[in-house]
Amino acid sequence: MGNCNKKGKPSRPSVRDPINIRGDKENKVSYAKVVLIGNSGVGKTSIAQRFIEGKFDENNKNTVGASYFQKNISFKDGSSLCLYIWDTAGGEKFQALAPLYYRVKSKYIINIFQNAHAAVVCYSVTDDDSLKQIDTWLNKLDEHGNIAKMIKVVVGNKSDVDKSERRVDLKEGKLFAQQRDLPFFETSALLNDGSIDELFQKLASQIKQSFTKEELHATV
Amino acid sequence: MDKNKSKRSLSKKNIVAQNNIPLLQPVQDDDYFQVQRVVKHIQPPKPETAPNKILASLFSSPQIDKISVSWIRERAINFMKVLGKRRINMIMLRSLSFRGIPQEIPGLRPIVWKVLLGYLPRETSKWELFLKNQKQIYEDWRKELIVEPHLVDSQNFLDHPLSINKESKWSKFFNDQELWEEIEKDVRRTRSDMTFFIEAVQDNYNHLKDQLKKQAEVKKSHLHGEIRFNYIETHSDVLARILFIYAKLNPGVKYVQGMNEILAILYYCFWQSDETLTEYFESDLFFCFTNLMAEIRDGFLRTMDSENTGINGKIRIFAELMQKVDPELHNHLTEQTVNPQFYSLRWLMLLLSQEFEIHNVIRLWDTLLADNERFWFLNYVCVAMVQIKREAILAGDFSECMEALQRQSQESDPKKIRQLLDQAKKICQIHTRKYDNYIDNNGQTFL
Repeated sequence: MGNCNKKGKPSRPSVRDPINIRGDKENKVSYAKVVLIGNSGVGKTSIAQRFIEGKFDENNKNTVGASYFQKNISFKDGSSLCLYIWDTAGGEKFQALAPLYYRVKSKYIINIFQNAHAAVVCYSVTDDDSLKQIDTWLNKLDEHGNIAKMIKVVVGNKSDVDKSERRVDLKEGKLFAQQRDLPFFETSALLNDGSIDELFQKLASQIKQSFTKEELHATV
Repeated sequence: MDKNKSKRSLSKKNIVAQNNIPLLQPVQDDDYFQVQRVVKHIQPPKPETAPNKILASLFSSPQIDKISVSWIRERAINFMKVLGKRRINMIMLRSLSFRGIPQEIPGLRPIVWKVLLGYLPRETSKWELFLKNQKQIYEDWRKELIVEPHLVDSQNFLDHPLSINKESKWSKFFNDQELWEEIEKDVRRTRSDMTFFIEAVQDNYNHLKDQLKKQAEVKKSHLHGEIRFNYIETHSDVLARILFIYAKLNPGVKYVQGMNEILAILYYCFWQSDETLTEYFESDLFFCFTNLMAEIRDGFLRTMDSENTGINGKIRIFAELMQKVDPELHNHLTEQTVNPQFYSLRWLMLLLSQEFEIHNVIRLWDTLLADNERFWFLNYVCVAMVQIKREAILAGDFSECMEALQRQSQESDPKKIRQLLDQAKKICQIHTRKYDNYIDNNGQTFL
C-alpha cells in the first residue's frame, strides 16, 4: 500500500485532523476519498491493484464487503494528493450494504459514499449490461453521497479484450458518458499500458482543481 | 501420567481465576495435541466390525500404517472408534474434531464433516440407504430444474424458442440464463489462488490444456465452434450447478456472492473422499452445503442485515467481544475510525474461508464445525485474528491498521493457524460464558 507522507519511522497522526500530520509543514499533504463502484466482475479490484501495486493479479476473487487502499499522486508543481481508495463489492447483496453504514459513538451514521470526493464508476466492455447499470450506480451516489461537487468519471475496463469478446464499443461508451456530461476513460488493468495511471492522474488533477485545500482533508 | 492428567484437566475455576491472557506465545510444535497415552500400540477397529461398508472401507485404509507419528495415528484411530459405534457420540466426535482431523487418512475428514453438518445420520447402520435416497432426490431435482430445451419436447409436442407458453422449456431456459451468468461469473474466480477448480472433473481430460485454458478465459456463452463442442466439464461447472440448484430451491435466498467460497471449501474437502463415497459426491455436497447455509444464510440476506443473525448483528457481537477481550486494541481501532465492518464482514460471513490458503481453511473449519454452538467460536478466532496484528495496529494510523487487518490473506504456514487457534482458545477459556460447550464426556475441556 502506498503510504502518503511517511518518511522513516511513520508518525501517528490522527487521520481526522490533517493539521497534525507530520511532514513538510509548508507543503501540507491533501487527501481525497475515492470510491470505485460498478457491477460485479467489471474489474474494480484489478483497477485498484494495477494502480496501487502496478500489477495484474490473475487470482482475483469476487470482493466481499470493501477493501481500502491508498496512494500518493504527485503533480508537476511539486504538490501532491493522497488518494484514499475504497474498492467496493459490486454484488447485489453489497449494493444494499455498500453504503457501509455504521455508528460512531452511537451518534453518526456514516456510509462509504459519504465524504467521497470522487467516484470511479466502472463497467466492462465485455458486458453491455454493466454499462446500462451505470445509471443505477450514479443514482446511488446521488442518494448516499453528501458532497455536491463530487467528481464522477465513467470507466470502461478490459479494453484489452479480443474484438470478438467486446460488447461495448469505445464510441458507445464515450457517447454514454457524454450524454451524462461525465469524463470518460477506457482502461485495461491487465495491460501495463498506462491507462489506469492516466485515469487516476487526471482524476487527481480534477479533484485538486475542484476542491479547496481545506476541503481536501482526510475523511475515511 | 497422573501429574500430566491433573495438568490438563483445567478446572473451570482455574480458568476463570486467570485474569489476563498471555499474548501469542510461540506454539511448541504439535505439543499441543499430545494426549496422554493409555495404550501404546492401539489398533484401528477391524473392518468386519464396521456398521456399514463406508466405514469398513475407511477402517481398512492402508494409510493408517503409513503414519509415522504415533499421536497422529492414535488420533486417526480414535476417530474411527467414535465413528464405528452404532450411534455416534457427538460430543466425542466434536471434541476430537475440534483439535483437527488427521489428513493422513484422506477419506476421514469428509465423513466427519458430513456427520458434524448433520447430514450423515448418527445411526451409522442407516448410512448406505440414506445416501442412496438422497442421491435419488438430488438427481430428480437436477433433472427438473436444469432445463435443456429441445425443439421437440419429450411428448413430441413442438416447442419453439419464441414460444410464449409458460410451460415452454425454452422460456424457462431463457429465464434461467441470468442466474446462470451471475453464478458463472463468480465460480470462474472461485479460489483462483489454485488451479483445481478450472481443471477437468475427469482426470483423463486434464492433458487437453489448450481447451481448458480457453474455457477458463472465455465466458461459457461466448464459446464457439469446436471449443464449445468439445466442452470439458470442470470442477467450477459442478460448483455452478450446485449453486444454481440451491438458488432455484431457495428462492428466498437465491444466489449471493460469497456462497461460492463456502461451497468451494466443502467441495475440496469432499473431493478427497474414499471411493465408496464417490458416487454420492455431488448429492452429498449439495445437501451438506444446504445444511451449512441453513445456519449461516442470514448473513447473506439483505433483509436480515440488522437482525442478530444477519451480518450487522454478527459484526456487532464480534465487536462487543473484541471490546471485552482487548479494550486497548478496540479503543485504538475506534479512535482511528477503523470500523469492525471494514474488516470483519468478510471473515464472519465467509467463515474465514477467504483469509487463508485452502488447506489451512480446512483445518480451521475442523474446529469451527466442531463447535457445539455454531458458529460462536468463530468470534474468538476473529478476535485472535486482530490480536495477532496487535503491535502493528497499536502503532498504526487508519491506513496502517487497515493494511494490517486486510492483508493477512493467503497465509500458507500451518503453524500460523495453530497459533491463531491457540490464541482463540485462550480467549475462550477466559471470556466465555459458554464454557460448557467445550467439555467432553470425561468432563475435560477440549479447548
